[in-house]
Amino acid sequence: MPSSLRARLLLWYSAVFLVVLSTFAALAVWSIWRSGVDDLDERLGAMAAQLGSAVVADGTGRFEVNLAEAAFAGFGEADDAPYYAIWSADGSLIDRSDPFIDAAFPGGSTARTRDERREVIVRAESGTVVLVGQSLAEVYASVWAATTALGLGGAVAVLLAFFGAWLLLGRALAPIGRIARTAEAMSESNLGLRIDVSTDDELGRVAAALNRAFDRIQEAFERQTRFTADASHELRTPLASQIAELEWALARPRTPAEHEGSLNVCMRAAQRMRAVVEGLLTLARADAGAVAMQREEVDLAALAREVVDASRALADQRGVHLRTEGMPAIVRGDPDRLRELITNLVSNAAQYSARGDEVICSTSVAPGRAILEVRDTGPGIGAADLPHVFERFYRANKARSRAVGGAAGGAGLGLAISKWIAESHGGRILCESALGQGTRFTVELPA
Amino acid sequence: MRILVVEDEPDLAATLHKALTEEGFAVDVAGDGEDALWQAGSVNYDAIVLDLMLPLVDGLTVLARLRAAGSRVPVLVLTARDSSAEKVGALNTGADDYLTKPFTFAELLARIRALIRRAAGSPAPLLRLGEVTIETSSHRVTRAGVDVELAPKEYALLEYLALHRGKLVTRTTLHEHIYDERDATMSNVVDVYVAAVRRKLGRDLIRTCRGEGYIIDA
Repeated sequence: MPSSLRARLLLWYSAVFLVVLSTFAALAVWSIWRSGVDDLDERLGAMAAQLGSAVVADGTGRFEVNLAEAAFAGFGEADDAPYYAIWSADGSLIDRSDPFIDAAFPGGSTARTRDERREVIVRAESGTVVLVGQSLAEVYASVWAATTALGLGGAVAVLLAFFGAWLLLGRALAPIGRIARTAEAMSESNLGLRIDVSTDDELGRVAAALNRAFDRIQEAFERQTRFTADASHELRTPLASQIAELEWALARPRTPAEHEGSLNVCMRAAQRMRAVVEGLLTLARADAGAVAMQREEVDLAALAREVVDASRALADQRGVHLRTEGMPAIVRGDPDRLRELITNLVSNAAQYSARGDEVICSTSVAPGRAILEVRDTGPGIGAADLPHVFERFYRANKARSRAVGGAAGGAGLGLAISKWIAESHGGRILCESALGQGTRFTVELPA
Repeated sequence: MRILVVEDEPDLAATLHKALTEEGFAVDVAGDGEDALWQAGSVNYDAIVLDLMLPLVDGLTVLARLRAAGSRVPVLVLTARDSSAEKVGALNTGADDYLTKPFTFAELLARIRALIRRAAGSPAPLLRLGEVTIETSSHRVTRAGVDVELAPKEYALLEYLALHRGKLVTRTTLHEHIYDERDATMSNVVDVYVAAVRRKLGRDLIRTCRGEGYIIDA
């Protein structure tokens, strides 16, 4: 089989066309043969009937063929001319047009083909049997003529169909070439390429589907690139601060106080880098599905109190009031991860709140669910940013992003990690907010 | 030389402030885009070091607005974004140079000095004023081949006048370019420094235009 789809389709098409055409031609030739033979039978039958009715018994047991001379003229003259033979009812030969024809009594009425001759035998009312025959040469000639014409015409038709199909297939399959060339040209640096879709046929739909797939790939790729850029940005910034500070500290002799200041700068930078790296590692393990979650009974209310107590010093420093409220809410889960989740939400709320704002961490239960809410009276999140708050490194308000937060909160990964923790517990996390209205994060976990 | 450092990471901004000040620059710091635009609009800086990811107004917008307002101040973009698209975007918006974090301070310093030299129209790092030479990279000043010690402000004043030689520089301009906003000084300090420089490098180097300012003749 040739490797080209065009050639293969063409081969199949031509083969089918040839078979259909040959069948049709064979039927045509056969029907020409049939009608030729039928015509001949009819003519020969008529002659036989005429001859039969012309046989007259003379009363002495002898017979006479009482026919005009002209009627006999056609018989036996040329090779292809009709011939006849007549027998009496008892089988004795009465007359024949040609002495060389077989004189054997043929029996009852029939039509037969013998030695490329057609013979019609008719038994007249008188019992006389008449055989009229003629060579089939004429019928053969017309069948041969028809065969030749059909063969030549067919060959021309096959050739025309072949070239027509070649051209049509070329046109129809051209989009495949375009699709292949586009897909071939697509690369990392060239993801914006799309197939030119001009038709609504199957190939047009394939091209459109591929274009949509390319869109998704490009989107995923860009998301990945953005994520890598964000991650490197989050690491480079504290690293730059640390290196610049160390360069300054080492440039010339410094006082102990200056050294201490430099060490503090370096410490803060290192802590930020640690937060980013830990967050990235957690999410990388989460993406790989390589984090084993413990399952034990955990009271969200107790965890919330624990987290709020631990965050209080930091919140007091910023003038933000923290408190917990609500009833015990027992879930089965990983206490360390759930503590991380609550810590992220609480420190996020505290971080984005101003002096005098309040952060409330409350727990409640609903049928089959335990609910944890962290709400603040901070500045809120704009509608444009709200759908993105759980994205990695997304920051609604960059102005406050540098404020000191807990865990990975300050690195822009805290909410992404919180979402993963909630979902890996079979639960979900929601964020409701509007500018100036404060923000409410709701975590629902199966009880 | 007066520089504006626009950087929202407070530690890095503080480090740059003290390190650049130590190198003889008068340094102001802006922590967000709005502050940066306000300061750049009120002081005639010799160079701006600009971070791109800024609160309130991002760095590219700051740059675009500065250029739209006709500012010719040399701008060095200092950012953690290192993709070539970001660099091209910043340069095409009107940045003069681009440095990615983390950077070495020596490189930042060299680039800032190069930007200032080019903006003043004298790209050679060694300035010759008769028998006086000034090495802008090391602040080394010689007179007839002999090293001369100048105080940081004296050097700053000399370098500014030397870079703008042939042009009259007013007292106010000199004051603006050798002091940052934290310095509260009296108006006659410029005259005091000019006198000190004359004492060390000769009376004829800096000429006084009475009532207007000072000039180093080309």
